[in-house]
Amino acid sequence: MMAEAIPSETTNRFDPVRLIDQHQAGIWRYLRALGCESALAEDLTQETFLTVLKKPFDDYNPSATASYLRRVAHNLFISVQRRAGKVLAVENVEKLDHAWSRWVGDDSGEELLEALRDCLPSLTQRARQALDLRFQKKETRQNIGAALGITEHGAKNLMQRAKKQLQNCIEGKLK
Amino acid sequence: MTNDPNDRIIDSCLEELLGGQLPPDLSEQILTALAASTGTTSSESASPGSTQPGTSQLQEPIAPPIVALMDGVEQVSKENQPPVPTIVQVAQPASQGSRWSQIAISASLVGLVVSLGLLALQQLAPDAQNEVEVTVDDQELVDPLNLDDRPSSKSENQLPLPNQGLVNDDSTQSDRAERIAHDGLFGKTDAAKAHEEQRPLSNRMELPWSDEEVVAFIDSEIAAGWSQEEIIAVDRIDEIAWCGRVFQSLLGRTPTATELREFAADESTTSYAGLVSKLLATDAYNSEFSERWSKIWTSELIGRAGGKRRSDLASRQELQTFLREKIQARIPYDELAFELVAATGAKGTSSEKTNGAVNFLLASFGRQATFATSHIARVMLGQRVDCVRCHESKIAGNTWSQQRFWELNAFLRQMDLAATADGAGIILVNVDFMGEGDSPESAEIYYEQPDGLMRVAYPRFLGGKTVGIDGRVNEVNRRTELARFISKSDEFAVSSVNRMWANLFGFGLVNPIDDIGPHNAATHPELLKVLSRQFVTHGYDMRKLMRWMLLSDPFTRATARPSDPPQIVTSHSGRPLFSHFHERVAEKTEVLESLRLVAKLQSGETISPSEKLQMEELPSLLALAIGPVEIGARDDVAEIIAPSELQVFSDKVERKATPMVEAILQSTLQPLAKIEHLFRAIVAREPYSGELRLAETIVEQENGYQILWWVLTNSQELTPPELTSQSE
Repeated sequence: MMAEAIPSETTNRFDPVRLIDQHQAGIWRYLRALGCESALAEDLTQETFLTVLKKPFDDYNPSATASYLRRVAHNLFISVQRRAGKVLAVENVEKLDHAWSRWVGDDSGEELLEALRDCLPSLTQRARQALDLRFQKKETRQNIGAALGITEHGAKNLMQRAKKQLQNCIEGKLK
Repeated sequence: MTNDPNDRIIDSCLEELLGGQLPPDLSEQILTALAASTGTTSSESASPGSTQPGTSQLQEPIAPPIVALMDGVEQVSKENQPPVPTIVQVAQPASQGSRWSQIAISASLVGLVVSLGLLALQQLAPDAQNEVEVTVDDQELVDPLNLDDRPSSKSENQLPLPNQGLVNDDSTQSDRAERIAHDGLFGKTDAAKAHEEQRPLSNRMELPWSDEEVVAFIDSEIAAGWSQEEIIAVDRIDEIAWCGRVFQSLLGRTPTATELREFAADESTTSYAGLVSKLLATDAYNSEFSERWSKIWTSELIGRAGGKRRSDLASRQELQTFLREKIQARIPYDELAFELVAATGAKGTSSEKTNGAVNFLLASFGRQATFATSHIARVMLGQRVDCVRCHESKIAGNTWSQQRFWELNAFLRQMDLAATADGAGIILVNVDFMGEGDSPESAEIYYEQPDGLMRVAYPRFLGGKTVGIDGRVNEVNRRTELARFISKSDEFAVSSVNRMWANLFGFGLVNPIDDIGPHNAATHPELLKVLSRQFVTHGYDMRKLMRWMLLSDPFTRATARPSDPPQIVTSHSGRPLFSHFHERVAEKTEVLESLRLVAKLQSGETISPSEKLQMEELPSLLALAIGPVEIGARDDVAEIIAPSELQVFSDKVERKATPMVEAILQSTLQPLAKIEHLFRAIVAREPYSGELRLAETIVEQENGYQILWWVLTNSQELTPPELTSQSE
């Protein structure tokens, strides 16, 4: 028996604006985590909503909707990668999808970002400096090492340890 | 970029926080693009479900992207069940104008056609709605085959049709459904129909038959098949050959001289049954029997190479040990299957609870349990489902659908791995499954259809039985429920019987043995059905099943000779009808390795430890004849082997090999031709070049042709017992 209509009072009335407003940031962030550059993430975010909004859709549960949107975005991302002739380890994508589900709630990642913001002060000054150079100034590891008076390999290790520390801190806050 | 998913998430967050790469507001672009694609303005696209008087509004969804297909929900407990099939009411933006009217009319027509199609499908295949509920307690079996001529409650609404939901040809569906309802999933030959009219089975199906009744039924069904195809069965083998065949089948070796003498001395009419009973039921052979069949079933469960590589998650040895203990303890096969599917615990010896059964699922762990889904379906249910993971089956008559695959997969999503306390081992555990919507109370999974539509799936077994949708283990242990469903299903019983038949007769009643279904008819459908029912009625006793097959007439038939006329060898359809015994054709590597080792041993060369392991693949008597060899040295044969074993070898060779080997020796054939003759006669093919070279060195030695004969004859068998002296 296929699905049948349910009374309108038992479901949310379909509202594209609300849907986009509630979920676009999360989808964009998800695509960035998958490895999209900013421009591609924007394109695929737009494509995700167009794909979903062109067909009838019931937004009865924010979690389910978010998951559904992520799955659509995920498939679009894989399609783009394949069209571009890039070899994609689907298993890695699946792992990331699983990790995302675990870390990010229904708030499109706001809680995660808030936790990260609270955890950044716990880093040492050198570690924070390294991350700033990496993500703010977009410096290479070599330049980061030079700025901190360490080797390139040392800079890499420093940032890895810092991110691991942040991860542990975030996990503690999100529990 | 790093492959660690957590690291990548942190990176993207840091780029946002530190790098200032904030998510853009794409609302305007999206709405504008949406409007452009639908021919409305963006403001109209933004208004939620507004309607205007006088315009038509779509009431019927064309194809909801998320649908919870939960047919027959009313049949099961209402508690914690999947939500009522949802839909989605379309809130299409309304507008005026002839274009919208045309679109609305077209959409209504499409909706009407879809609805009519769905209604027709419902009439033909309501799936679970009228299915008889089966519980473990009452042990009733749902009968998908329905031999009765009178329509059952199931056949009134027909069996599930193939390609449900994708039917295009309505005119053939009713014919197919009628045929399935009347003849069952496996079809029915004309001979079987005539046979059934003489002896109706329906009133005896649920009662346990005696061994004699079952064996007589096997014989009559097989003979009916011969008669139908105008096949003449080959002659029966003599009692000595039969004895050897039984020993090979059950224990993987030839009988000793004493065992042969004891059997030959029993001239009673029950000598054959007595031998089978002795090998299957007495403690004297239990260890040997368990050893052999634990190896066979290990290969069936995780493949010939499973668990052998260092990188494998599963341990072959631990699984084999587990199976050996269970077989030795005579555990019913349904209980064994239950343990394999529901297993948790450490895979190997550790300080924590070890459960060798976990290695069955460890062998296919990963990929969101998709491998395990296919594996369980193939091994436990005899059904191939790899393709329907991604799309509906393209095979006419196949009842599997993409939805059914993912519903089965949903049972396995609580599986996970953990480390032992010392960190050195792996434990298979069940953990709470949050669902892909991150809601454990309604732990769903999503999958994508080829057309891009996303669908939702909850745990459901073969389109029938469901469990609660909660993903938390303490609420619903999905794997335990699945194990229960599988072990009590008709499909499991049929698959188990078919596999055992293939093990003993070389071919199953359905071939390939992991592709059972309406699309792949059994050669003897009634036989398969009755054996399956009796297997269940007799408590899933595998030894009892073996007994019936070993005592049947087809097991006494000789192999086909090249000189036999065609009407003896094959049926018109080319399918095996067991008018002759089917020797398993030895694979190239088996024979080659056997020949290589024999040649090396004969020459006195030392063997490596790995070759010592390979020696265990050689037939025991042949290895005894050559002599057990210590690593790095070759011991004198006479000092190691007990005289009785040598005598057995020579007796056996004289009795069995003499006619063929003597004929070859006395012939004027060149050695090459003699070797080729032996290959053709025994393994039914010409020797490969490597085999030929090795065979030539072997026949140059004393008793060379006899040894070659033994190698070829026994290369088809599985691993024999350890190389130890056999006490008499």
